[in-house]
Amino acid sequence: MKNAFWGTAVISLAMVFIVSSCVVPDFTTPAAKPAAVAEAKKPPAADKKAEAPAKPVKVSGDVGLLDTEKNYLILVTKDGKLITADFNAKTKVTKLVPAPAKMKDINLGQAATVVYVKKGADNHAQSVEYAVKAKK
Amino acid sequence: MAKILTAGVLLLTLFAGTPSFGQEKKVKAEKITGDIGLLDLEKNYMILVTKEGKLVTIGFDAKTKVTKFSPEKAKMGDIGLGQATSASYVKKGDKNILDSIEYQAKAKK
Repeated sequence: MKNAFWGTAVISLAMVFIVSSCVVPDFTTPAAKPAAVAEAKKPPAADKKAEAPAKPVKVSGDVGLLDTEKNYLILVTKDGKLITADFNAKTKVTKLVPAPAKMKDINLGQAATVVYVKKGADNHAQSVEYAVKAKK
Repeated sequence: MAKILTAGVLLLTLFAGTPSFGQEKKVKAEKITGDIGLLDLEKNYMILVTKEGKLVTIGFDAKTKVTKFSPEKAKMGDIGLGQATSASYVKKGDKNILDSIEYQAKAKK
């Protein structure tokens, strides 16, 4: 009888230890981790947008003012809009020098400006101007 | 006598304002910009493709003046006031910073 009591006690104790040693996974912490990762990933995307270089704006116009001391100029567009822009040593200045050429010198796809007159149903070119691309 | 003179002056004024029969009406030249889509050196004609995609066929002959513009390095100080230019700039804050500027030099006479 005593043996049966001790046996039951030992088994009960063992069961208490087994149950208490079971690891109950904490589901709240791992769930929070991916959210933190997601939050951490978002800022670089925003940074990329901020770092993206500004798109260059092309404009044509006459030089209305050129200050080589304060390094700025004002361009007057065809629409009469005034554009003030600063320049520095990095600003690339190119002059296009005209030279006589022949029609055979013109390549296909070349951008050109043609002055022509209408003669009946036909158009006749008086002058053709084209720009040569800079050699790299 | 005075009436005849007045009539003569009036007639002269009238005829002076009208163009003579032999004089031809001046044809207005048109300017167009585009890419050369076709160039036939045997049949002496080209097709220019405008930005809008319009095709313009234009003939030419030996009298057609052809000019090429070659790029050369220059300085800001070389640009004259009133000079026509093409420029490219970027906006940095409230300022525009000039990347590049291009202008046509006048032909040497």
